[in-house]
Amino acid sequence: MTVALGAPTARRPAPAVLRRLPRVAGVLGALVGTALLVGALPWLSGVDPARSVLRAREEEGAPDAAALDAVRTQLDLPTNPVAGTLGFLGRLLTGDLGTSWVSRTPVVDTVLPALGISLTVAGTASLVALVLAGLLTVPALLRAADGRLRGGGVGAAVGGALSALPEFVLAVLLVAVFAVGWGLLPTTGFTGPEHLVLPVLALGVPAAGVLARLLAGAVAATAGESWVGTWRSAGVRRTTVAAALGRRAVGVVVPQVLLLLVGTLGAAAVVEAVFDIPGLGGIALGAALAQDVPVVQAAVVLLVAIGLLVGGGGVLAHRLLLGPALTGSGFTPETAAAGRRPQRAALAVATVLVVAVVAGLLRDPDAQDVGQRLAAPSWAHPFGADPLGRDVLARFGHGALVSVGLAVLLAALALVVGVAVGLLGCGDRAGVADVLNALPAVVTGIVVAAVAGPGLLSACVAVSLVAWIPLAVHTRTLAAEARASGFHVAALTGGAGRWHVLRRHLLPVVGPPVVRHALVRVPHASLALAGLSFLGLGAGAESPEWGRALAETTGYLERAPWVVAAPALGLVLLGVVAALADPAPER
Amino acid sequence: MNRRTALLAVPVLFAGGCFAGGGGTAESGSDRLRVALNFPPVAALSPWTDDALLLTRMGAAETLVTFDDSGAAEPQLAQSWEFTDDRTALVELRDDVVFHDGTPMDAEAVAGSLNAAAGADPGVRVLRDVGLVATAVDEDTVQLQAAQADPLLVQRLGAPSLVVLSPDAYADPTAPDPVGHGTGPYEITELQGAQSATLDAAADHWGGTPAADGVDVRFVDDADARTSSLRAGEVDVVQGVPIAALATLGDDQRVVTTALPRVTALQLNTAGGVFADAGLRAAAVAAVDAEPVVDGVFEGQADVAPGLLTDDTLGAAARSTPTLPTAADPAGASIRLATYDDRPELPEAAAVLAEQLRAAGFTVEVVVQTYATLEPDLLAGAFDAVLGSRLTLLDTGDPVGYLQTDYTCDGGYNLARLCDPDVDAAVTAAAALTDPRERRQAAADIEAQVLSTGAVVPVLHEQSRTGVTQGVQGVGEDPFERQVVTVATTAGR
Amino acid sequence: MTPLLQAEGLTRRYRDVTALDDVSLRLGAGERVAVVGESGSGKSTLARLLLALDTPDAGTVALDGRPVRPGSARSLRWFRRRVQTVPQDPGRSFNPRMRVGQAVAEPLACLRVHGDHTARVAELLVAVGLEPDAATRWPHEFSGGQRQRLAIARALAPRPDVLLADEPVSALDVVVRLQVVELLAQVSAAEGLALLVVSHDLGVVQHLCDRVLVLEAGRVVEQGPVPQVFGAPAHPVTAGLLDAVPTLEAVAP
Repeated sequence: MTVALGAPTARRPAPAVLRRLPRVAGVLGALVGTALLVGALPWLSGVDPARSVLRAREEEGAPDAAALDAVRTQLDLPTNPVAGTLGFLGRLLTGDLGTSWVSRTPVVDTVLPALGISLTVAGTASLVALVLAGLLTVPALLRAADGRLRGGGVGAAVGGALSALPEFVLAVLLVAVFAVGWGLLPTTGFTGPEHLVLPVLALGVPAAGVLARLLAGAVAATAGESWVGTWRSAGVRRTTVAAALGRRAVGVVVPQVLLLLVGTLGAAAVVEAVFDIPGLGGIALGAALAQDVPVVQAAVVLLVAIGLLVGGGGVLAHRLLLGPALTGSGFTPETAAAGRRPQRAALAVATVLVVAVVAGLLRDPDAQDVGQRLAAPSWAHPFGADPLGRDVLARFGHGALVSVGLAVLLAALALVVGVAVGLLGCGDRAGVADVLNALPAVVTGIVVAAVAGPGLLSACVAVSLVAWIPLAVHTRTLAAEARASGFHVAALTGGAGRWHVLRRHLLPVVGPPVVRHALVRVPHASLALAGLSFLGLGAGAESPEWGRALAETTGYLERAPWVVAAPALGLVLLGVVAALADPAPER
Repeated sequence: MNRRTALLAVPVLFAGGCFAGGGGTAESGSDRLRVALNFPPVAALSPWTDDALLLTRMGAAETLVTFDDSGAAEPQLAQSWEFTDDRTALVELRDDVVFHDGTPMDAEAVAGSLNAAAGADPGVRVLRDVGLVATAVDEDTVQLQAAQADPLLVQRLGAPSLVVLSPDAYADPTAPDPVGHGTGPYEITELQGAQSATLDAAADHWGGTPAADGVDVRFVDDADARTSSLRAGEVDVVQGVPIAALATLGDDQRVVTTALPRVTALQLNTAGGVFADAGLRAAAVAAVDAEPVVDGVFEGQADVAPGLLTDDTLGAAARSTPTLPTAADPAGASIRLATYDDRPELPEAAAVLAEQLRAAGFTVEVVVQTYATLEPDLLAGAFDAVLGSRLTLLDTGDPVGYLQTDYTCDGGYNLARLCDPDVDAAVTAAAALTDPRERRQAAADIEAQVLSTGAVVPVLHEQSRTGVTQGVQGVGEDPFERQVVTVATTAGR
Repeated sequence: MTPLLQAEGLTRRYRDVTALDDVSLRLGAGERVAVVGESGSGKSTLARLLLALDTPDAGTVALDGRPVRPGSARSLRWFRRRVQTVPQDPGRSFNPRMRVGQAVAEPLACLRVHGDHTARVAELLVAVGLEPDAATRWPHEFSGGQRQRLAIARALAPRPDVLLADEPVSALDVVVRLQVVELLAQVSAAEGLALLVVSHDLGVVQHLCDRVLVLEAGRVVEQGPVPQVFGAPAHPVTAGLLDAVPTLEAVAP
């Protein structure tokens, strides 16, 4: 018999059907809204869809007015986005997803197989990420079971480093080493399980880093709960205590894994391209660029539907994992005492970074010398030279300011929005967060670029639209636990209002872990910006910004590893510093 | 306990596995070619789209004529032809061609193919505004008639969209199905979506027995992925090896390069902004030095452009030196230079050119985006300079069409926004010429005219790079990139 | 005597389980009433409904004739000033990040009680038998019994009329239990509080309360004055509960 003990209900409970109505309406609204937004893309961007569709079919050549007219009549283009979306939804109800404007074949034939493939890749990657994160947390679990845990442990640092690895760099590296170098695995294609290994690693390892950091924090928080000491002094076996701790900590992470799963479905376009996997990300991207609206609408609606389903499942999973503890006064989230050692390590790494950045700032990042193209590291160029002969160290230093500054700014913004939404939003419903998370980042980017034009500000908007989501989900998860705590009830009966509870009880509990989470995601903001640069969103074409440099030079990984290594290492070290920095040092 | 296991089962369900349908793997002992082509079919290999290029590259379908290096027509499925008047031509067909489905190729089938293409909606690019009607005169002769005088009538037959397919291919008049209906050395037996295709040797091919037993084609969009599969030994022939990857190829691979009639050029916006001033255009032309781009960015895998058209194209025609006005002093004039990243070397080339322009005194901002998002701004003239890559000999193997599209007042792709009545008149006159040599000379003259306006700065001419494993012989070296797999291609295993 | 806190016909169902079925209860000013029953009998649910932390499916709760319904903190302020609770688990009812003094003063701030809060906190701490300087210490520095005293202090802060003690001593060891029970008796007498004790421990009930209600499976099966119900239980459930009691007299100090 479980009772949810959150904010008290304020009215008589309505019959079950009526109670579900707002939720169903919300879900439908989300689906219709995204379909409408996608359907309006040609109008938003001002690009004639007839033209982009023609170009997708014939790249060279300049279509004339007659050809464009013929295409328009053939495609039966809707006169305005609302009519088009209504038509689309009407057909959807009969199970017809429409016909692609570019290929003239039914959308179902391309989108559904691609969805299946993406589900396989994303699902396996999420599973691998979770398992890997768990393995990284095992030492911390065992130490916590012994009562010796201080701070996040090694798992946090390794997690931070891994999480900052850009997926596309990892993908290219894996192909170079395992597929081409050692010939162990196929380079491309997707016809059997052996094709699954490398893409899953490329997607799963960075994700494992983030999850490991979250797990480390959750373990540290759980290690301070009173039952651990009781169990230890009662002589319970170390592994049993560790397992119980693990199960308790994993509850926080499961909603994040599900977020990751859905997010990867539509957003793995770059990794899919490297491995030639016909997944939904690539299809959505190609269709969005060609403005093949039926395909994009179908893909996006499917993704959003899955996102809502899975998001609801995440909340449910959290509840199932924690069971009755979430309902009674089961929790007292304790403070985690940080160790001195991680702080010192963070400082050391940060110093190394700063020294390198300052050294780079003193040099000229723009001096081209094509004769020095991809030159190896030497006295003249300590980090080597890039494809245009520019000094990599100099570009590293100058790029740092933009990258780190932007990334920190975006992470801070994401933190504020995420915490606000997580605390103030409706607790146990899948909502806007799941919709936005399911939308492929490139589609969001294209819409933002169409509406706001290219540039750095638009890029920041596009990244901010989704960056807050994992933090909001994390906040929601922790807040659910905090609201189940004894002192929360005590505050309520003491007459505390919503804001008081938020400020004095929820925020101090929820704050530090979510801030740590935000720190882990700092490098991601830079990479997200880089991922949108091909749309014209982001720092300028010649900017030495790290994410951009990575995106442009990954193809040179085997010939001149230093060109890729410098910005990649910069991001990784930034991730390590962020992971080790602790906002709530030992009292 | 049940809840927990249920939770764990969910992700495993996902991992259960959906995989793309696989192409058959070659059995050991059979001599099959494994080929990776550089873009996937967008319309199930319909010849009325770019997929036609895939058909010809795979060796599945053929056109009536092909082009030599200069773009002149050469016989393929057609044996000979003659113009009876300025808009009619009689074409003699080979009599030993058999379609893959067994029917013989006769004039009726050819006329059917051509008329279907002429009637396609929207029209096939090469037949736009031509009004082509094909009729079978006798069993091996086809009469082609255009709506107005057309010197290029026969040249058009070399365009990939006019591949000849058997009558059964046109069962659906809006979407011809080439699977099993072509004439090439290899017959398509299966097409797996946009992933791969399987072809078997057509033993009755008119050019002789194909050298390989069959072809397994994969469509791989990403250039580095293609190259990796070549290096790993997963494919024998790879189209479009990027320059950056050349140095990573090992001893087991080599690259077949062919000069292309494709020019990378900097278009200057003559209609507005900084470059409306001819003197500043001249300054920009003087500032651009193609050598560092060719030697550095392209690592020698390109040729410095003597003009817009290649020497091969012009053949014997003489180039005249363009005369530009005196270069003015830029004095820090601010310009925006745009390019697209769909072709990997362009962004780097743009950066080099930007530095050169800065050295000459301009202030340059470089904009790089993917072509799809850039095109509306390009066509609207939002940039002062655009670095782009264009095919100078398109469907017809004739350069006048390119000059008409790119440099006349009404041209559909006039990024330089050049509107010079002299150029227009010269182009119209050149289009009416029937003698190929005269056309070439007229094209050379128009080129000099255009370059004299300073509207465009040719930088380099590109090359195609086909990566093959050692031992592969007979790969197509077609400057029009229409032939990769030929009847003579063998894996040499 | 007009009832101070009155519940009529309270019913609460959770999906297919009926936690409370038509339970009525009256608590007069200064009265001490106990609600006993085994685990799962619905005691906690009843406590939550009486504290307006949950909405009943049927029935009403009223204080001084004024109906009480869960709602915003502001709408319930009048109620919370007069009805306070001593929660069950002293280990969990204090925020480990808040100093004890702040925690005890929290109801004063939230319920907008006038006066000098610091002085009131000191006064309360003394009243429950702790040192006034305990206000600057953290919850983890106190033992279980001391924390329960602090919980009582916090409950008394707004000078309520009704004190609802939900298993006030179940989490404490036997020796400390008596001290806390004594404290409850003493403060409720001193302040003239009505006391509602929810417990499964009949020894505590016997010590503290005048009247008792016995709950089983969500229904009131027996009620009446404590000596009568415990001396001559009419219902087998009551008898069973009585049999299970270890006598407290043996451990009297």
